[in-house]
Amino acid sequence: MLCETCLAIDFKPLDEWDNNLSQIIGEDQIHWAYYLHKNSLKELEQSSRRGCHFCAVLWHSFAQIPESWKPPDSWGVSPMELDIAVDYPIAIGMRREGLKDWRDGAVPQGVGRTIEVYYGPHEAVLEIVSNLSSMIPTQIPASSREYSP
Amino acid sequence: MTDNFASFSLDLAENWAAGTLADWDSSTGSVANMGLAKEWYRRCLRDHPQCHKSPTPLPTRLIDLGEMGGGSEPVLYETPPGMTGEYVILSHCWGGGQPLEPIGPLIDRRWPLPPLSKWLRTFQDAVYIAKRFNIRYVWIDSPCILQRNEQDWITESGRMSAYFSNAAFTIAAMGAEDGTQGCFWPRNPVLTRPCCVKLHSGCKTDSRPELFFIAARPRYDSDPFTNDAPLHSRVWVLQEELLSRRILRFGKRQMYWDCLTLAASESDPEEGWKSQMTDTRRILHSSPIVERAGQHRNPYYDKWYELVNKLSERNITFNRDILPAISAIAESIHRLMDPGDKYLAGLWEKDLVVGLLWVVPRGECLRPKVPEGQPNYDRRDFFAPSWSWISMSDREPSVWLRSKIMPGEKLNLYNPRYESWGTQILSANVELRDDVNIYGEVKSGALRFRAQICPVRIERKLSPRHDLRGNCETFSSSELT
Repeated sequence: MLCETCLAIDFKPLDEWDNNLSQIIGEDQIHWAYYLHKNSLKELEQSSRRGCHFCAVLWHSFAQIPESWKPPDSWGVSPMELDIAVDYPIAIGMRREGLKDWRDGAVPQGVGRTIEVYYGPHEAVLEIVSNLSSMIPTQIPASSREYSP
Repeated sequence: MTDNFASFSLDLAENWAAGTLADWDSSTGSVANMGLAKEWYRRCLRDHPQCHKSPTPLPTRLIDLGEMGGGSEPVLYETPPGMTGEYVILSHCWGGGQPLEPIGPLIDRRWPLPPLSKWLRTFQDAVYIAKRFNIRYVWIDSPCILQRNEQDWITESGRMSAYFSNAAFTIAAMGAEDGTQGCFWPRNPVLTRPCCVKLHSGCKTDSRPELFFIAARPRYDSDPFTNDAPLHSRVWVLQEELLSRRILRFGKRQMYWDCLTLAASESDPEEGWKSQMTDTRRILHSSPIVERAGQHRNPYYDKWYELVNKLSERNITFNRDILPAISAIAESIHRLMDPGDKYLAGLWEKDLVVGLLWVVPRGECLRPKVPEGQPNYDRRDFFAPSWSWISMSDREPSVWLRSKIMPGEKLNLYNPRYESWGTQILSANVELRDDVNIYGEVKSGALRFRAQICPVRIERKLSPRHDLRGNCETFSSSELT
């Protein structure tokens, strides 16, 4: 189950995004492509509470979520420990050489295998585990269906 | 493993969508995890010839779980000589728990054991895992080594190398501090399992989206070999780990697979972390291929010193156990050393000039003052000669100075140019406590060597917290003149 934002992830060079994303990333990295995700950590938290798995993963990459936290039947507890008084948009980035590996259905290797997550001065790393398209080219798993808030 | 892994991961996605993931997969011992572990094992048997060993003789004793589905209580089984088969072996922190011991006499090669429900949690979990894999036999140090029989302890601890190497796989209760905590831990699968996401790249000419599994890098068990995992703080466990061909590790947040070919985890089931130990394990299980030309040293001596440095970061309850605790590693690496080399209480005779160059941190070198006319060790509590790092194994010794004399460093002792003033070992011997195990405990040791004596000026630089009475200061080579 993914939210609209996570269903539409599309990596593009920084110059194809507006100034909002440039402010997050700072200096343009020509070997990278980016995606502006949620506008604030609050939005990310709310989306993960509603059941978006990828938002939960992103949120977890910054926030200390206690092990007792469970989806989606116990959204009521807020485990957020980050100071969100000053909020920033969330962006994700990936090296273009990793994107090239998609063409042959492979898992990107080396530095291209990771996705960087940006939240203000904070950065986190996600890892691409496998490319499912080569295994199940026609099947779209249930997790890709949009939830109904 | 992509096909079955895809199916497994799609199950996760379906459970997430249905809101049942947390219930379906709320423990590291979940049915989902057992399925993943079996898949790792099945793939290893099928695709990894390097990990395979056959036939595998059974240990002297094993816990026999009986016929699968039979419902009988486990017993301790004395295996007939030459019997081969499949068993799993447990690596765990004892933590001072009550040992599991037979409760009746040996009849027809079988000793009765207490009911399974009375066993320590970790032992029960090991039995549960073995049953899930349809493996009938389990080796657990207690009771498979008779704890009240010293001779049995010496004999069986000397066979640990073979026991761990021959096992189908090792179950490592990585997160447990003692036997009461078990192998399995409750956890939130959302924070461990990879997430299925469709990514689109506007950078591509053909902009077809691709479906990926993406995982957050684990905050916690990211390197299961660190001392964060209680199991890996123990000296004994190092040899259990190094000599195992396959290890199924149960951390507090996730489960890991580590065979000689694949290192994987729940968050990255196809290939995940890899530690320095993985390479060392591959070396210990491989055929020795040492290509040396002329004066070059055997590189496996340095591998041994690396292990010494790793060992010194770990703990052991009794100092006298240190040699038995590493005996299986020594035995295993001996075949890689120079032909005819001799093991000397933690050192190797043919590389002794280098091996003697161990150090302990400043301030940790204090030894009791030796009364005049007395030997320089305490006969009552002797466990290693003073010239071996083993004698200070509880003070974080490291073979650090070797880096200064290796090829490419400041001085190469193996260059004939330096022979005229190099140190020469005249004799080095240890007296074994038990002649059966040349890697085990020693009763004494003697070393004679010839070396040039250089004038040295030592400047004492005492820190304020050291007094001047009886304290010995270490000094670095740069302080020598």
